[in-house]
Amino acid sequence: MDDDSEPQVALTALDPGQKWVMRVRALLTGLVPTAVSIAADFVSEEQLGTPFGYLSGLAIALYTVAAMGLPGRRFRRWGYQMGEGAIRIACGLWVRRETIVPFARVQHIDVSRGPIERAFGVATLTLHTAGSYNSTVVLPGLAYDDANIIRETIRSHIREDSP
Amino acid sequence: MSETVAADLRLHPATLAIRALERLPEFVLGLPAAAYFIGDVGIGAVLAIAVVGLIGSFGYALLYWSRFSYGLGEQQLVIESGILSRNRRTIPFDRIQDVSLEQKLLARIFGVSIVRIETGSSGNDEGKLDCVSRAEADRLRDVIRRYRAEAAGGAAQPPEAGEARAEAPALFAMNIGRVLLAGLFNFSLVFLAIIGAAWQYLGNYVPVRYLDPELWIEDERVGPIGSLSLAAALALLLVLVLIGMITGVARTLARDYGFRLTRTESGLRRLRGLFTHTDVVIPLRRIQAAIISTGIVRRHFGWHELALQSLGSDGSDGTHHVAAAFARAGEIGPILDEIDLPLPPGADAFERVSPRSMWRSRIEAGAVLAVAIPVAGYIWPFGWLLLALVPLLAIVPVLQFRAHGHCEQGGVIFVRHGVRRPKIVILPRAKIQSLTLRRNLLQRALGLASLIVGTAGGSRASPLKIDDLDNDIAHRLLVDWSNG
Repeated sequence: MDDDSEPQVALTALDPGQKWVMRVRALLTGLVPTAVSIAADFVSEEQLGTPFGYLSGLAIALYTVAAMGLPGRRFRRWGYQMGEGAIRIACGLWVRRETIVPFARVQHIDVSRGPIERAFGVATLTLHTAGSYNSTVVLPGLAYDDANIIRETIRSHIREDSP
Repeated sequence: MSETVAADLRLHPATLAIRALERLPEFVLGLPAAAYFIGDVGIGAVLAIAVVGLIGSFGYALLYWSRFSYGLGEQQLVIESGILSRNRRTIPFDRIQDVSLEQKLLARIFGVSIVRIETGSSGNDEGKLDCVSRAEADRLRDVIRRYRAEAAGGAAQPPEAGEARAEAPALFAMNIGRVLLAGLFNFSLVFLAIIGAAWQYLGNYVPVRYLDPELWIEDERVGPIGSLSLAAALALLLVLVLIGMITGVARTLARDYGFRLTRTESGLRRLRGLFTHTDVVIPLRRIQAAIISTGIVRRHFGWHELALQSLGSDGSDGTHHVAAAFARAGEIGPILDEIDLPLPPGADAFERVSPRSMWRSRIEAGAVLAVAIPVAGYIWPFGWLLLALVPLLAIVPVLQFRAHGHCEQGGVIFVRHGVRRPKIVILPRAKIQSLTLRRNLLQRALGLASLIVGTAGGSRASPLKIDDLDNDIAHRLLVDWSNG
């Protein structure tokens, strides 16, 4: 209904490399459950005489959707905006979340890259706040240089705020 | 000045006796279970195991005690501990936020006290001396306080011993009559749960089968259903109410006896407890928010509780210190004045959330009931009684809607919510750490959004939340409140 009457502000999209990071992650995550389902289907045919193919087909269909369809849509829902004194991060395919962290409330900042992220040239920015809710706010899929620029921007604000 | 401080002081020897006595119930209760697992051995063997266990744990306590020492320097406290790997911890007085004392029942008998040194970091047990004598505890606190007072204002008046400071005028205090009255409102049936748990555990050892509640129900079914069983049911109800009241009074008396809140130079100090006596200081600069709560009944008598949310210090991630356990609104104002927070405005100053929130509760709770009732009806003959819950779908969301609201005055945000236990959170805008807008599928369809406010020291599981605001209002608040 009101569904896409969404952001009044223009959000910056993530680096395209992140789409591939998400796909590779989904492929790896789904590998074991899919293999187990196919094996179970096979064993069940041998032992119980159930027809082979239904369970495997379902598993492969789910795997394809999860690895090929969803990451792209989830990727499009991610976005961020650097404001004057705060960063805004939006995400979520079904449950939409929009978080604002004032720079002055950031305790410390991490920029991290895993092996998959390194392969696609992206990095994850993690903001730590003193709040017990949202004690870490994560922004994945930034080009490595962008992540460092954002980190420096936020850090300079922290220094100004606490002499 | 003092480069090396000798850690030459030891904990009070009574610590050993307390450790041993505290362990005793575990061993006694553990014996039947141990006997069960081991199987067919004589009572002698079981006792032997128990004795070996006791000696072992006592030996460990002795070893730990002998390897634990501390020392007080000019500017720092030093603690050395560790049986094999030694650890020397230095806590500069400058970093100490405050010193809390705690005395459990056994500790009071032996005249000792646990000292907790609280520093800025949120780690667990930063500096815990368990236990030292009461006089030593007071000395530690005075040395640290005096140093801090001198560092702060040069010519600070020397703080006297603990008794003298306790005579500072109380911000809030509860006499015995007030504690008993509070107990009556704390009606609780937790006692029944304890009996139930004990029954699970000991039931097999009690030979009298008449005590089995299932037999009573059987008898009830067989016996005549008439005036007698009605009288019996009423009597049972009366007994339950009595038990609930006695439990409530006993728990409140144990916890809040001698409740006294005073102002110290750096914070608020609270003393309370009948058996476990606690002496807690809440440093002013760590206070994040205040929470005024009441109950569905006590609200009509004008009684409230004031709690202060402060940066985690007890090792837990959130700390709520009760600052006034059972108080009139007029008594809460002066306490809030001390911490520079205003009293919340009247209920009509609050802005309500979207009325569509009632439909969200109805649809979500209705979906749960639509599944749960047929399932319960299928597996349990009385399951269909759950249908009695359906009318609640009409009423409860309205009550929740009317109890929920938010407003802002002079840079302070107020959020009220809760029907059974109404609460008002008082949060200065400057203490907001982050803001999140959350919309699930149903909320998106209804044009609603929940605003979740990240605060320091709050509960991770149930953060401060304004549920089901109109989407546009929620977006406006999100941007507005994040501007410091």
